[in-house]
Amino acid sequence: MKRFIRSAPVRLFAALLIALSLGSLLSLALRGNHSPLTSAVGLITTPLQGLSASLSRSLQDVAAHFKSSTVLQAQLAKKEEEIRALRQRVVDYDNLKKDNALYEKFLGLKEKNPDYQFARATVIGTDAARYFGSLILNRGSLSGIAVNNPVIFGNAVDGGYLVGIVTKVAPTSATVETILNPNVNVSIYDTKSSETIGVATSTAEWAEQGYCVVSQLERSTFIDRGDLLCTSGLGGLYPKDLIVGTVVETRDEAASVTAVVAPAADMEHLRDVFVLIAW
Amino acid sequence: MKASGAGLFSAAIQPIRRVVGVQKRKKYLRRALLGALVLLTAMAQHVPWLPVVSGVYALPLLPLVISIAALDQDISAIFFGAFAGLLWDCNTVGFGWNSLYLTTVAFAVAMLMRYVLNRNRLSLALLHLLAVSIYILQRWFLDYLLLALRPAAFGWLDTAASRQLLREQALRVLLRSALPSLLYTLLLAPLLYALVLLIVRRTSRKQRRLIEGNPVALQNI
Repeated sequence: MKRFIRSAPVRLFAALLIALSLGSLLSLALRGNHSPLTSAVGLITTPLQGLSASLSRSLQDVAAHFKSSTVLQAQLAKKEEEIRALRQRVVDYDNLKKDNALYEKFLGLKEKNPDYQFARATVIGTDAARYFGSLILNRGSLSGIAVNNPVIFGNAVDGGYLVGIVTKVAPTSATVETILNPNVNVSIYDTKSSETIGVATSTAEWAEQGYCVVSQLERSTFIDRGDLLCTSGLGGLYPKDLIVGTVVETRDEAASVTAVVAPAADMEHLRDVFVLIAW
Repeated sequence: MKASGAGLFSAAIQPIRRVVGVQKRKKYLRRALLGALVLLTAMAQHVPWLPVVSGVYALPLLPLVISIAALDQDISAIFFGAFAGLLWDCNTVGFGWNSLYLTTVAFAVAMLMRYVLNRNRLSLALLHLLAVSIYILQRWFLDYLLLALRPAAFGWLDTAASRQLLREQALRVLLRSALPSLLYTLLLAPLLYALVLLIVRRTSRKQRRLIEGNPVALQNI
């Protein structure tokens, strides 16, 4: 038994366990930041993961073409040959164009709220072991992102669509829990009545279908199908007037009403988002 | 042309051959290949490259770590467990639990394989089932069942209605997400085991003898 305890694997395991446990305690103490070991690994792997996420998206686009007919495939192959010849110039042009288009989407929001400060980020992955909408972004504390920063997706006409909230930050990545997660609660108001009516959250049943709910509403509350719900700003976690979603259904419960809300942001196809780092 | 290319390559790596013996080269190659496999599997899990079936994700890092611990040397298996856990922690909410768990699993499997168990399909299947089940069920317990049993401790109102809602939620998550995820992960285990076995067999004479020296194992792997 002594020989076993003194053996190299056991000593290595004990040393790693102590190092990882210290990192975990530090992570707990830092309240939402990754442990130093995880941050160190993340510095190297987050850019790789970003690259693999964009490759994965490109492959999905290519796979869609295989559903086309033979004639269309031949034409597509010919076009791809032409594009390859011009690729370098087109790639630079496309990137600039994409940046302009993305920032243009936020011009409306920025003009309405000049004090808002944003950090742009891209979704590079999801937390496979959590069941409801956790996203991984390719920016972290080095870009000014902190825990409890709201995450939005943009629209020039309507402003920002609420995606969720940052719950964990490393130097080069951040974890976001979306509004489909039952742990995320958002105080909302109905734009039609301008009343703060309750809290939007989700449950396992509704999150599977991609909806949030506002439950325990009084029967006298003015809410109807088609109403637009926005953040009320109460609680201080989210600024006012971020669009949460649209009411798709109201259900009468025993002594209250439940509103089923379709989130404004398309959680399944999110790519570029903005993190509100100050407002 | 081909012969001269091979000759040039051979001449170029001659200094490396003088410094590093064949077995050591194979050892480094094995570790590099396994490290790359861990990195790719982590990306497959989180990007995700693996198909998401009705919202159910696979967790291939778990069976990969178990396979490496069962087939590779103890010390490097523990390091790979810690590495896989750190990669997982980069992509999750939590305080570093995954790195602790995967390091412990790697250590436990390596020790069991060395001192207690025979290296055969049944023991490997049981180890996979045990390790993956413990992980998925403890996540479900901490994230959902505990919430249903003690709602007030997590900031929920402790009313009959909220307890009912949370219990239904916990059951729904177990049946629609946790158990399917467990099955999906276990389905990938044989493929990952085969990949690790291929790498270890090609790059480690010692490990190959260890695996093939056991006549029962030779029949069953």
